[in-house]
Amino acid sequence: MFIKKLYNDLDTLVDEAMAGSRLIADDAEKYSRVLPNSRITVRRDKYKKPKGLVKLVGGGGAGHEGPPGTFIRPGGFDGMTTGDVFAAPSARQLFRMIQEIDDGSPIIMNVARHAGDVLNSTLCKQLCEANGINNVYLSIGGNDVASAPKERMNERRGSGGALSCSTVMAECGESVEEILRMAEKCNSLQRSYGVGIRPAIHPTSGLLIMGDMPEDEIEMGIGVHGESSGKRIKLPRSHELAQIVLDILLTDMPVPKGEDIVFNLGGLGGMTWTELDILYKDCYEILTYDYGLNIWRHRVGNSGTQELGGFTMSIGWPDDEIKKWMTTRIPMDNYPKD
Amino acid sequence: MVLEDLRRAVFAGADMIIERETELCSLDAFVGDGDHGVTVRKGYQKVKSSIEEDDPKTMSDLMMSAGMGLADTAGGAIGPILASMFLGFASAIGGKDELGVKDLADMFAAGLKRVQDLGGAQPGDCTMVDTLYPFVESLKNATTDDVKEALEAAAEKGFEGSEATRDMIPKLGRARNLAERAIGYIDAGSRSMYYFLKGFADNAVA
Amino acid sequence: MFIKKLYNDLDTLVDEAIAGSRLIAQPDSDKYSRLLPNSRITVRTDKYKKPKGLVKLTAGGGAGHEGPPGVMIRPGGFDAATQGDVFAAPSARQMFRAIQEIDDGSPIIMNVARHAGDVLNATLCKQLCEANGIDHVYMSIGGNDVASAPKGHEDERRGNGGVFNTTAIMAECGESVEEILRMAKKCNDRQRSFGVGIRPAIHPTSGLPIMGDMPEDEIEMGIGVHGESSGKRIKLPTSRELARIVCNILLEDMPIPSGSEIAISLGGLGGMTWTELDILYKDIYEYLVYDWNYKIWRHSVRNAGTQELGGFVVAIGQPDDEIKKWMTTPLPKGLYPED
Repeated sequence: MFIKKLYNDLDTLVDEAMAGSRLIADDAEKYSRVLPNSRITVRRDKYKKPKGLVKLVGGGGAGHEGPPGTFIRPGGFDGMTTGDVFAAPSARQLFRMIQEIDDGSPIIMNVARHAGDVLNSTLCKQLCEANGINNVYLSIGGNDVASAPKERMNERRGSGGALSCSTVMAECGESVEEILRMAEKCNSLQRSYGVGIRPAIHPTSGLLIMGDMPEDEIEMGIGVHGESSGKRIKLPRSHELAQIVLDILLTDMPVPKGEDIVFNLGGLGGMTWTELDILYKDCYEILTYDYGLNIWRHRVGNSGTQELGGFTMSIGWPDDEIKKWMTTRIPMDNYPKD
Repeated sequence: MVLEDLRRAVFAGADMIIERETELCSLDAFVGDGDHGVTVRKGYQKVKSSIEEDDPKTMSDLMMSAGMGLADTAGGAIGPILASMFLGFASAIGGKDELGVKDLADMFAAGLKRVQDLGGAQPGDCTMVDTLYPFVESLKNATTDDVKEALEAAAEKGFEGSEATRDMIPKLGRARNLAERAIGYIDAGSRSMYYFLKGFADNAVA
Repeated sequence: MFIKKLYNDLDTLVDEAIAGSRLIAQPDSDKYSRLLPNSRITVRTDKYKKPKGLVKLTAGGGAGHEGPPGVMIRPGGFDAATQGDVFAAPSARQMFRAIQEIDDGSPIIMNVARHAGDVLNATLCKQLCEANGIDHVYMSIGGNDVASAPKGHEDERRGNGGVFNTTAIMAECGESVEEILRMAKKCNDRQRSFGVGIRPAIHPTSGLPIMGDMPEDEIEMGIGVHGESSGKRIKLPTSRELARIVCNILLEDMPIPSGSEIAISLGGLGGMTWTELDILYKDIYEYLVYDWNYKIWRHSVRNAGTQELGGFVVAIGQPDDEIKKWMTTPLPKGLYPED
């Protein structure tokens, strides 16, 4: 099938994209390295997290590439691995990554709740145990209200988020139990929801993601891989859509007037910044003036699902403990000064 | 002519264009995107509202006010070029409180220069210059001291110039892409320029 | 016409986008800059105003190019910026109002990307300034898109993208207007850019597709940042092939000796995927470093500019020592309040 995208070879697409992304990000080579013949990134020895501190690893499918950045660095994760486009990395790959960074300290695998990711992480943990690595923990997160009803909160898929304390807590020497408790708390105090407006081309199959949308309709409750919800509505105005989505989020997790919230708006790659600017303004006004909430932190970005015109919105309701960690400076004494 | 004559003449020129919006749009429909009438109508409405708001006390300030009004119109080249023309008018008549035929010739010549400087058009390029240039030449060579007579004669030359754009190949702007295919069509900018000059000439003397 | 984009009202689209972009860039946007009432003019707040005597800088351009949040009107940046309608220059009157607002008698440079409407309105603005007694306004017009005019007509080339510019830092360091203008010209002369369009976008107010009539298997070479067509189409090549084609066009126009240091920028136009940009940058890097033996002195890769258009602009620059010196000069201390 003809694919109107720029690439060289579908078989090497993910590896080439990783190589390019590392060339683009200024700090990539300084802080991290890719294990030979793999899609596994770990910290360089010089910036390794000291023994005894909890290690954090993550993994997920490719195809979500965004602006350059180095997540594997002091203050970030310790290891990361990428699968094929929109597909979880294999358990074997996850295991190789854990072997590489294991120094006997606890290791937390951070997993977004998607079937393949959960399956492979669980299997990876079994591989670890079979090989005598008994210090591996799973932290599974997901808060997409479109993916499961409120009664089945622990089935909700991962699609975005607003609150996070793990990286700073690990650098500060917190225990694995504390970090897991807080990760669970963060996940339970946030909600996300996705909307799809314009389709994208799958980078390796060439098929359209959200390809059968009627010209004047949009899809409510999509996932970050363009998973369909089947629920379509006529394209509303920006402020109407802002109202609909915020009502969905705040009905699922009512937040009393006057509270501080964290608000994230993530364009999925093909939203225009003109749209994101206007949509954020509409959300800001509804949250501030109608709901009486105080936007304590906010973030707006645009990447995640190729050139899909759509977005994920997340609201977090941080308590004092979460706020404390989210404002704690990451101690850098453990690492060489540049 | 004095301040109140100038104000009346400018307003009359502006009104003549505003009233002919539809005609100017249809002239533009083949070679352009058919919005010339709208653009100049909006521009000359700004000329009037700006003068009404500023209520200028000198002739130079009046032309300045018109230019500032036109400079407020966004999009397209016509607005800025006309604005520059009025700035040229303003600078040429600085300090004057009465205009004779020679002053008017100097004033329109200064406006023509600005139009050419900013727009880059020469006579024969199928633009508003093809109206303004013969108008200015006629004023410069006028043998009469009668303002109305001189302006009306010049406006007639301007009309002939505008008519002549029918046989010209456009050298500038979007129409340029059509080249020979534009032959047979009057340039809308040359025609709107004629309407302004005609309205001005007919009302220069009370 | 139905427009499949999220918006509220086409008449207020640009103003709403400006308001939203300022909310996103909080708290810096309100800290460093303010929007003049009933306008699209942004100027620095009094607290961060550039001291009198230093050269002031303004910029202006059409809307619709919105990108990730950022505040350009701040210490180390410009002094004022104005926006027009979607893909249309701001009016001369608006530019004039911006200049009136920041004028303190010091020289003011209007930075203009060479597009007909921008040049026209900036020129008229300068006339308005002079007619109003502000006679220290200068224009710096830049453009280096090799697709827009042939070699020998460099001074007709349109603005499209760039890799280095020393104007803002030189102004903060107290350089003279002549020096700043000289360096702006030098920077422009030492860089070249070229745009490619792959997938269409929707114009946000007209609803018409930009690059809408592309055959499914073809791309367009030499487009402008508003999707201006070049008429030159080729079959979609591989990323590696396209990287070579574009670099060769740029380097043929401005030959750079092997072994030189270069600056490179790759700007996705909004609807490129990062998967594509990552791969394309790798291919450009490999071609320039291994085949041409250049050293990449600076690089930048971004994605915004022409709505959700799938396309990009590549720019290559050859900095000399003077450009490098200014590009690495930090903002002088002591001009502005410490936070």
